[in-house]
Amino acid sequence: MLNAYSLVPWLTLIPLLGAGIILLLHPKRTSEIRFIAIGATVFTLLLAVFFFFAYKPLVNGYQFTALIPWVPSLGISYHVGLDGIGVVMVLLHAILSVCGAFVSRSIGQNVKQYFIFYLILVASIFGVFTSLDLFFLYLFYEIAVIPLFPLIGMWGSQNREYAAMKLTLYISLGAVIALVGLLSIYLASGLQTFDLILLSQQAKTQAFSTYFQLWCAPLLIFGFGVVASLWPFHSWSPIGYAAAPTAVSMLHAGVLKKLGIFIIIRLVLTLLPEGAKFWLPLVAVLCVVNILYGAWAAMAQKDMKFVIGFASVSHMGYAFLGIACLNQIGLTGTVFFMFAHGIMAALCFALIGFIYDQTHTRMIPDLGGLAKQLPFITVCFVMAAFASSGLPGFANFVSEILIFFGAWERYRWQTILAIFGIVITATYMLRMVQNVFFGAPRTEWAKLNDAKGFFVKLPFGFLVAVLLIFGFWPSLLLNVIRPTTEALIEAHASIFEKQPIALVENTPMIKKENR
Amino acid sequence: MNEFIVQSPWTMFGPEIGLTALILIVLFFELFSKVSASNIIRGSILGAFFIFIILLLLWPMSGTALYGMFQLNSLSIFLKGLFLSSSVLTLCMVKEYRESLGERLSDFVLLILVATLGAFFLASANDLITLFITIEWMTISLYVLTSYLKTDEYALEAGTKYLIMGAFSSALFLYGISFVYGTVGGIHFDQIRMALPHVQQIPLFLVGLLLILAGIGFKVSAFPFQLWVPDVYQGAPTPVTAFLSVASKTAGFAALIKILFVALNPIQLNWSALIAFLSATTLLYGNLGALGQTNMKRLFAYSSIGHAGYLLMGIASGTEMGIGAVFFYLVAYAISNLTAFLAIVIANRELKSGEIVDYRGLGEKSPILAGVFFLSLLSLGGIPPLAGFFGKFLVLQAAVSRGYVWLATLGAVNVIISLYYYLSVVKEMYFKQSGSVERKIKIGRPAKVLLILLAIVTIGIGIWQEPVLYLSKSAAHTLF
Repeated sequence: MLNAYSLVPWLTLIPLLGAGIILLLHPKRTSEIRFIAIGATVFTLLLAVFFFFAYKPLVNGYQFTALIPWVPSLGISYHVGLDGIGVVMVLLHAILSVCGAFVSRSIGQNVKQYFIFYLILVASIFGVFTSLDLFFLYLFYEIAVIPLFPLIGMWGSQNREYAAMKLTLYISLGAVIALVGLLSIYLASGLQTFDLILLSQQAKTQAFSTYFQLWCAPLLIFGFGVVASLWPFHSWSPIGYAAAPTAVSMLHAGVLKKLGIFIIIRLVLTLLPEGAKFWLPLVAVLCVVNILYGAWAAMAQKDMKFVIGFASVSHMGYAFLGIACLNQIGLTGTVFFMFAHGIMAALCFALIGFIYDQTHTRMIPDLGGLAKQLPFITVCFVMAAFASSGLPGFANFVSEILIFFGAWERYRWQTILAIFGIVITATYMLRMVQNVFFGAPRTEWAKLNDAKGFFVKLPFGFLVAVLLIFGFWPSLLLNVIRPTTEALIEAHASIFEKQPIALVENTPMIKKENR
Repeated sequence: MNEFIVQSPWTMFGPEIGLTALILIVLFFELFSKVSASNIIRGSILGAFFIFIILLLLWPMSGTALYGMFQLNSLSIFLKGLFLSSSVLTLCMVKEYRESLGERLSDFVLLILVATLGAFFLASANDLITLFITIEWMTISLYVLTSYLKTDEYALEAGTKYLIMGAFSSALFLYGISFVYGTVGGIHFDQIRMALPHVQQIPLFLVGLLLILAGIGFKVSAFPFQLWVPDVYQGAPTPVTAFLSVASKTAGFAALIKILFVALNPIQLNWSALIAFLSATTLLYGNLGALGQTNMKRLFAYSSIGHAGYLLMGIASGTEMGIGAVFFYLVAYAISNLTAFLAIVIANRELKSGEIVDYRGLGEKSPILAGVFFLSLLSLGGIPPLAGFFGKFLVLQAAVSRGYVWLATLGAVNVIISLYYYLSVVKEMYFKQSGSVERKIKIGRPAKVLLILLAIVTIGIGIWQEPVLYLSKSAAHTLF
């Protein structure tokens, strides 16, 4: 079962090797540096596509696993593998890191350092998505946070120093709080191992005590919730995105935010089901605040990046709502949503970055009538706006519908309010499209150049294509996700059911089935 | 653990004899020949490597000498290795610092070696008097080193302050020993341990212990005995600051661990809550105090108080795992802090200032110096995959295992506070352009190689933790 020749570690190793090669190059050789960075990310994309198609959805458990004992005395091992959720997230991240490397062409100074940090960021996010060991999961998560500090601080725009510091400290604070939770799990299990598979087997047969679950679960939910900008821990997010360089905004809004939700699904739902059941109704309330408050704040923004920044805060609410359902439909919806939203948010940031590089402003009142000069960009942006508003035909629509179906039974009011959030989203997105791209053309923007050439158009066209492909053919993704989420819910079905736990356990019939 | 019992005291005293010989050779060359100061440093570093080899040869052995006053075991060899490494790195720093010291450089080297010899005996001390004498031995060398720059008023202030506070703490320590001797009837650790069931209810014995702990509290800069630290660290010559913050602190922790685990028994006398409380206050004082600092060495003074808090956290757990964590942390801290100080020595020399704002634009002026400094700051802040991270990880794990979840959470929050001030330095170095177009800083080849080597070691320990973990665990194992 253990395959030492698994390709999964290469997802992390290839970008790291790329960073190592760039470190040795002379800073002036920028074209080679770019080539290596793009090459490394393209390699990981090829691997990710391979995993996506080679993954066998109907086989239970993790696939492509590899295990290297690391610190045996503490039970730390480098254990990697992918399940249906991991495969989808790896694909998302690989797509975005390639596109991010392409749009990083606008970086002019300190190219060498930029790509080193960028590749470390890419590698560590792959590390989180593939780790099956709590220690390495945390390790890669923390490594992912640190490159953001120089990336935003050195290559960012307005308010970059403040934004970089705030973002780094907020996310690290969440991480270390969660670390206390992870260490508690390690010690409470009594297995002397950080291995997720062993721990989840133990959680199935001989669960952690209810008291432990109740105090440990919030450490993880809120600790990792910070990076997913759960209200009220979201305030770093719009400022950070506004200051970050384009590729970092793309990766951050597209993938890094999803790390939080991914880890909550992977750890809290599998290891601490009772804790999840106790705390997630609160999250369901908070996430409605996320949706409505984020959308409302986005309405009031004049800076395009802030609009998308608050929109992403708002959208993460749907993902949390999907987890809080604690059923298979909602959870599948959440994973699909993470994928769709990642592509969409990255597309928005890439397009805004493209416009900003030429106009040097992102203020909506200063822009207008850009459609005439930038037809290609306009089309892409309209697509992104439609996707963001959940229009049928885009992947986002499918995922949001799934989340609402899943949530309807358990959280009726929250679902109604969340659906109302979509209306607000449509309002501000379409208003932004109208004010920026349509209306009377302005003389100062008459000389703008549209995206020309294959490699400039590639990232935008690619992302739009992905959104449309999975919008029209959702089963391609759903067939991969569903078995995993089903197994996840099934493992603790008796706890996640709506009835009180005691009633279920007293019924001999159900107990029999569980065996 | 299989340990060879050594009978011959000559074997046991190998490292000490080697170091004494080295000191005599340095003294001889200084007095009777015209060897240049840099060659003296080179020779001492070479000699240190020979002593290192002796330590490696001694590794799994154990034994006692001088009627049980002197003890050789994994713990003492581990500590000696740590002391020796930090004094070698300090000597490398002195080499970069030699311009400020001028003619009197060889005495400086000599004093560092003498302090190291004191630390060697401390690592093997097995009774209270030896412990006291070796601590004093080390501290008296450091008094002289601190005020070595005779014309600098900050250095003189620092020296005086350190002398007064140090003398005061020694007095407390000695006074405490007298109480313990009076109640136990002996000063040997084994005697105290045997007598513990009878004496642990006697108030005078407990008062004596508290006084001893207070005396050591000064050395490890634990709250509320930390007041001298910022001024002394700021005023002392930078290599001495480095030596104080690493070797002297390690010595203090070695003494503390010896008293708490060898002389006392964590099961019989429960001091854990007291140490946990000290750990919490020390953490908060150090890290909050560091927030407003503008001078680099002063910032490091406060941050070193913060690190003492983490080390106390590991001790508070009172388990073998916790002490192993403390030893790992000490190694990681020594490497990262000495790397940082090497960078500070070079940067202060080139920038002619020790203020944090003057580090502005260092990233452009010298990418290697700034890069390695950045790495060491991240390691001190506890960022993976660097050495400091795994140390913090182990210490927090030990605290949680003992049930101090509140303390671990406090430690976790303090990681963020420390990250703030470490990253503020990074911000100065990288995000801001220096006002004028200045020349690039040129670093000599040996310094460059050393910086890169230290960076590799910092990353290496963080990724492949097993070797250091094995050493620290074996060292901790001898206590239980």
